[in-house]
Order: sequence, then C-alpha cells, then structure tokens
Amino acid sequence: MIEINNISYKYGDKPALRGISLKINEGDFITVLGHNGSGKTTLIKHLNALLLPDKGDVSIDGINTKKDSWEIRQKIGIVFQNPEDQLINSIVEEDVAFGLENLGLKSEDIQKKIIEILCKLNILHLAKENVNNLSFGQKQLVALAGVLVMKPKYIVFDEPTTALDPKNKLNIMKIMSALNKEGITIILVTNNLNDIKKYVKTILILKDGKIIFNGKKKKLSKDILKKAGMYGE
Amino acid sequence: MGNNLFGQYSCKNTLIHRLDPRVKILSVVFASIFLFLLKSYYSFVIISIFIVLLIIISKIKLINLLISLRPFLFFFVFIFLMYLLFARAELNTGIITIWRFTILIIIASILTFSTSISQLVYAVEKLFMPLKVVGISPRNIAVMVSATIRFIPLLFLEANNIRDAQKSRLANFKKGKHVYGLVYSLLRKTFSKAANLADAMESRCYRDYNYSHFKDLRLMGRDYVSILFVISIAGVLLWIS
Repeated sequence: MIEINNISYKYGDKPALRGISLKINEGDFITVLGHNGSGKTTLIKHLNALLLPDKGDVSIDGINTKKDSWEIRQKIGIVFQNPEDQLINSIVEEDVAFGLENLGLKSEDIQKKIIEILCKLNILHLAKENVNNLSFGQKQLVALAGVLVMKPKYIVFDEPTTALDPKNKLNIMKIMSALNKEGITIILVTNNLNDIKKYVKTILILKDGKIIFNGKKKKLSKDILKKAGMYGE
Repeated sequence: MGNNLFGQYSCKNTLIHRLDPRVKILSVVFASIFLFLLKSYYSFVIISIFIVLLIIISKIKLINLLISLRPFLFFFVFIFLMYLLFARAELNTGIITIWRFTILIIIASILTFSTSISQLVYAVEKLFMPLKVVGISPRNIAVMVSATIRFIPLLFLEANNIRDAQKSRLANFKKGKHVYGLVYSLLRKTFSKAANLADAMESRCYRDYNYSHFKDLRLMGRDYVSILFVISIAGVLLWIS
C-alpha cells in the first residue's frame, strides 16, 4: 500500500504540494488529474523517492521513502512523459537491461527476462535496434519494458499518451489495463479526461498542489471538474 | 547526422568482430605507440601487409575505410607539401609520417567497424577498473560516455529544430544575437534532458557498486592468441627496424 501522510513540498519559495494525504491500495487503477502546474509530477516523484517531502511522510509497503530509496524504487517504477529522455543506452535490449544490471542480476537471468518482457510487449523484433531509429510509440514501449522488466508492484505512467497517435494511445491504455488485471497497481497521471473513460477505477484531482477530489469515477461531477478548470475538455 | 559519427559498426561474424573489445582497444593503443618507433620502409611494408590481412579477415569494405580516411586527406597533402617545399632532403621522413598516420587511422577504423559502441564502452569501463582505487567510478564514466553517444544525435536534431523554428521567424544567423538565441535554447533543452535522464536513471535503481552486466566480457583462447600474435609482429618489426 502507498501511504502519503500530509506532505508539503516547495520549489524555492513556490509551494508545489500543500498538505497532501492519500492512500493507494494494491491492485488499484488510479488517475491523477490536473492542469499543468497543479503538482501532479511533483507528487509522483515523491512516490519514487526522486523527491523527498519538506513536511510529512511517504511510505510504500511500510517503507519510508526517506529511509530506503533503493528498495522503494524496486517497488515503484515510473514511465516518464517523454521516452526520448529516459532511454539510457542506444540499443533496445541494452536499455531494457539497465535496471536489471543495477539490481545485480546474472547475465543469463538478464537475457531471459529481457526476452520475456519484449515478447510480452510484442517488440522482440526491436531487441537489436538502435533506439534513435524507433518511432515515438515504439520508444514508449521500450521505456515501459525497461520499467516492467524490474517487476514493480506499482507503476506510475506520467502522461504517457500525450504525444501518441490514437492507435498507440489505445495500445498503451490496453497494456495498462492488462497490467492492472495482473495485479499491478497503476497510477496514471494525465490532463486528458479521455484517458480515464474506460479503464480507471479511482480519480484524484489536484489543483494548486491540493487534492480537490479523491473518489470513485462515478462520483466525479461537473462541479468538481469546473472547480479544477477541466470541464468542457 | 549524429548517427553517422558513431554508426560505423557493422555486425559481422568474423574473428576480428568476435575478439574481446579490451584486446582490440589495447592493441590499437599499443600500435599507436609502437608505430612511432618504426623508421624503415621495410617495417612499414610488413605492417601494411598485416593491416591488409586484418581488413580481409574482418570483411570490412575498402570503400568504408577510404571514407574514414577522407577527412584527413587535407592534412596528408599539407604534410607532403611542407616536406616537398621546405625539406626536400627529408621527403622520405614525410612519406613515412603520412604512411604512419594512414595506418593509425585504418587500425582505429577497424576497431570501430568491428566493435559496437556498447562493447567499446563496456571495455573502457573494465579497463578503467583500477581507477576505483583513487575513488573514480568506472561505471559512472562508462554511463556518461554511453549517454553522450545516445544523446548526440538527439541534440543535433534539437539544434536543427530550433534553427528551423527561428529561421521561420526570420532569424539571421549572421547576427550574434540570433546565434546566442540558438545556443541558449539548445543549452536549456540539453540541461532539461539531462535532468530528466538523471531522474529516469535513479528511478531504475542506478548505482555504481554491486551491479552486474548484461553482456559480460571473458577472455577466450582466440584473445590470448591475438595478443601473442601482436607482440610477435611487434618483435619482428623492431628487429627489422
């Protein structure tokens, strides 16, 4: 379980998160909605211990992010918005191997896991390709493979569909849903209401670093969307 | 454009391609130093025959090697003319100097044509292992090199995009102000990408200790034979010289 207890965070003097408290259960599919600058990305960076709160605590399965960031990062993977910026190695299979190398796995085990994950995402044929030669959608899948191969319990998708065409968008949404059905907790960050139509169970709306809605999708009203400045999108 | 800088490697199943990259790198370093000890035409003829054999074994296309020599053509002509005009008595030395550099470039090209960037980076990491003693992390160096190679084509692309965007708004790159705008935008994007990459690495548990390698390097019989062969050739050449 992810427990966020009254966290606040500032960039310099500018507050980005103000007293956020939240619980995310295992197996949930939650969407974090909000406009640019609402604090979405700052919040998810706290989940992975990339940022530590100025006040309050974040704990993943009982481990405080301030205490063991390495352990935390094995539990929570993040697929960032732009795959271009998160692929470290030039060759697909070598990039997917990056996280497993950090975990200190044996070469043979790494090889096995890479093949398994590339097969799962139907991109085994790209294993030896240079990532610079891939399409944006393919890069997104490689970035996801690099996270999935580490077998995290929770995966955060930071606006994964923003730059994708409709076909790739649908593919990513289907993959997220399938992963959720396998028991992986999905946290989808988006500012696009269309992304939440089908698969999402729980919605969290942020505005100016505060939670203005946290509940089931069916309880989301026009008034709340208006308050968040998202009505009509 | 950036791809061309580092896109020379072609995957082939030859003895040279299969050699351990550490052996290849050390051989190139050794040859670079050793070539400067050679003075006679005979030794250069022998080493040239050896290089031709290497090219044949590695199945590298001659045209590709010639292309890699092309940027140095001006330099070679310049050296030749200098000797011809100002030191005609030493013209032999000039020819040997050009010959030496040509061999050096071809040897380096054989290395890059037969070794992938990731193999090179990994080999450099392994070779830098002793630096751990003085607190320098070989993995950090290797990852830095690898990420640089990965991002160079992207930065060229970004630079082109920014230049086109500015041109469409009538930028004139003969003006310092507009060049500054281009450089500033590119630097801003580069730092932003670097920050994002650092986050992505951290979130995938990056650390420079207790890590493993996807493709581990192991010295095989062929590597030891190659080392012996290079040393033998060097011995024969020294004896002739």
